[in-house]
Amino acid sequence: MLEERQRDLDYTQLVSASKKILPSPDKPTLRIALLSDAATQQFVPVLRALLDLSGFSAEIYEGAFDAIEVEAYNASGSLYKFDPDAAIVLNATQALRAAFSKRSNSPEEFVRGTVSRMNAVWNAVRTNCRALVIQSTFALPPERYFGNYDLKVPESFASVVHAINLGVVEAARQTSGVLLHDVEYIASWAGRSRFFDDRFWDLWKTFCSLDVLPAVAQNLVDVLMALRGRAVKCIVLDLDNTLWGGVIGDDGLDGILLNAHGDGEPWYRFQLFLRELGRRGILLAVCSKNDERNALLPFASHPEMVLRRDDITVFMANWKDKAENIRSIREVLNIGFDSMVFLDDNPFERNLVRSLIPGIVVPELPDDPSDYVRFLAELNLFETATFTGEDVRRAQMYKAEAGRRAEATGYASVEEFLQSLDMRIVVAKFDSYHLPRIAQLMQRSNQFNLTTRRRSQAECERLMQDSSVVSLYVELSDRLGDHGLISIVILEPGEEELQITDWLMSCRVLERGVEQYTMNEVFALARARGLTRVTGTYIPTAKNEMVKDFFGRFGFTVVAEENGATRWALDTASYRPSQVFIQPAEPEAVVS
Amino acid sequence: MTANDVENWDSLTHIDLIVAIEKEFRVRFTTAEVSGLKNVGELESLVEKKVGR
Repeated sequence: MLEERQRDLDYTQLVSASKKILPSPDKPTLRIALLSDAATQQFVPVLRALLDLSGFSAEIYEGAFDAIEVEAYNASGSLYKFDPDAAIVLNATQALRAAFSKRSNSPEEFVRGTVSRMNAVWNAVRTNCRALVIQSTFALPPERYFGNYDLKVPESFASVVHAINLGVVEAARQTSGVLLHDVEYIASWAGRSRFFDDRFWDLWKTFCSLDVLPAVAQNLVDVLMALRGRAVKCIVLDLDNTLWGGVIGDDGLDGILLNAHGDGEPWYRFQLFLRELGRRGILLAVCSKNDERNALLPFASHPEMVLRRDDITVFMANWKDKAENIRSIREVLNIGFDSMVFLDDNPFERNLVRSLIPGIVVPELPDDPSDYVRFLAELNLFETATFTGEDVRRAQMYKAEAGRRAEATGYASVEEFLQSLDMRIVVAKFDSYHLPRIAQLMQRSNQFNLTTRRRSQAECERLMQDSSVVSLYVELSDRLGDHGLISIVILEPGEEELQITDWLMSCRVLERGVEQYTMNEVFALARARGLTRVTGTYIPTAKNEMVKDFFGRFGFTVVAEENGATRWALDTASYRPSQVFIQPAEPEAVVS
Repeated sequence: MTANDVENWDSLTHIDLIVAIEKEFRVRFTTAEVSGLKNVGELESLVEKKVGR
């Protein structure tokens, strides 16, 4: 459901649209708190309208004007009673300027003091509620007191703002419960002179020009969507006139346009951009109408080709229609269509794919390939709330997976194949090392997710430290490679019952026994603690129908039903362990 | 002229009204002009003055 970006974000239209939002019980709700030293009234309808376009309904709390610290430190105040999912802190450069002009200490101390106070606000929020903090950067000021020499002077306001932004970024890097919202990026993109509106600040303490405010709000919504698990995981690429100029089948290796300096530079630059995305963990796939031999030629032999065959996770070059090929690509990768982006210079192909594939993102690429990178940059498709070493290895992991699937066809039975994989598993309690990846899986897992509770990294850390809860992660590897951390199960032992509150798994490892092995472990734990029953809940969403009967498959029965959600139970004594072809990675892998 | 005379008057904030009028009539109010306004009638006169030239 990643929406196409509104290229022309108009304030008046968005305010108007916000009044026409119909209440919708199916839409998930986001609870957001706005804390600012600028007025927040203009943001509220705009955020509401943009979130509605992204499929969310919003509950918005506006902190009192210029009372960021007062709100944050009031442990029994209305901010915390509101119980926000995210606390957005919007700091205005105009307010900072006023504080700077009133300073009684040195500029260095002012910088340190400001960053430290902002950090303290984050700590207060994170201590008093479960919200994630989304902190703005300061838009750089438009006035210069020394002209260009401003930057050589550490005491100039410009230098101070630079230093504060650096300090905020550094502090945010050290803190997992804080994300950044780069207002300076938007101010710079729109143009500093357009961003600031002095008249409106003087009159109404408006954060920025109303022409640019929607872009600021959209930027914020992008962060919120990433927090909710919306992520682009794969880019599907056409070849002719998209990755190079011309048609390889007609023009041949020497005829296509692709070079670092010359007519082929736009496509060269585009490939550099794509390769960088690949390195950061976005999977690249090719979908081209070509003989496979021709399509592969530039990857193997063109001297200026940036992307190599190795950079492409799934390569489909044939004469089938592109929608069919994209469906095959999706099946291999086992991700949702809405986490895929399709790039093709040909409007016919774009329209075809857009109409036949629900949810896939198909940007209307500009006519001039020189504009591709900038156009994609403006769409901001690659927002994320997490980044781990596993992301970088993802392409390799998928490659290994494709290898496994290819091998699977050569075996007499599934069991034989599974046995041959020599799978090794780790089922262990949460630890600090794995927290980032745990949080990431929590945010992103949509399909194999029983209750879809999006727990932030800070929350996972709390669970880790809570001895009344058993929080488990599962890692899998086999003969062909390492799958990494692929499942999370959270259990709450009670007096008689063991409750399964969260169960999610990456779709990369379906049908090989991971869930069976894990369920065996869950019941072993229940027995070890003398608990007579194991219970679990399924909460339906638009994406998790595949696990509707998950508990049923293990012999659980439904004990309650409410609004489509089902509660299941099975007596510990009645559970029959499933046969699995997985071994513990270490002999002492049983958790109790 | 009061709010009762204006069709579809709802909780449009002051700022939204000024923004909409400036766009529609292609005028620009100074800070002093805006903060000096006491009611919709005065706003109406101000617009007439700026547009009528």
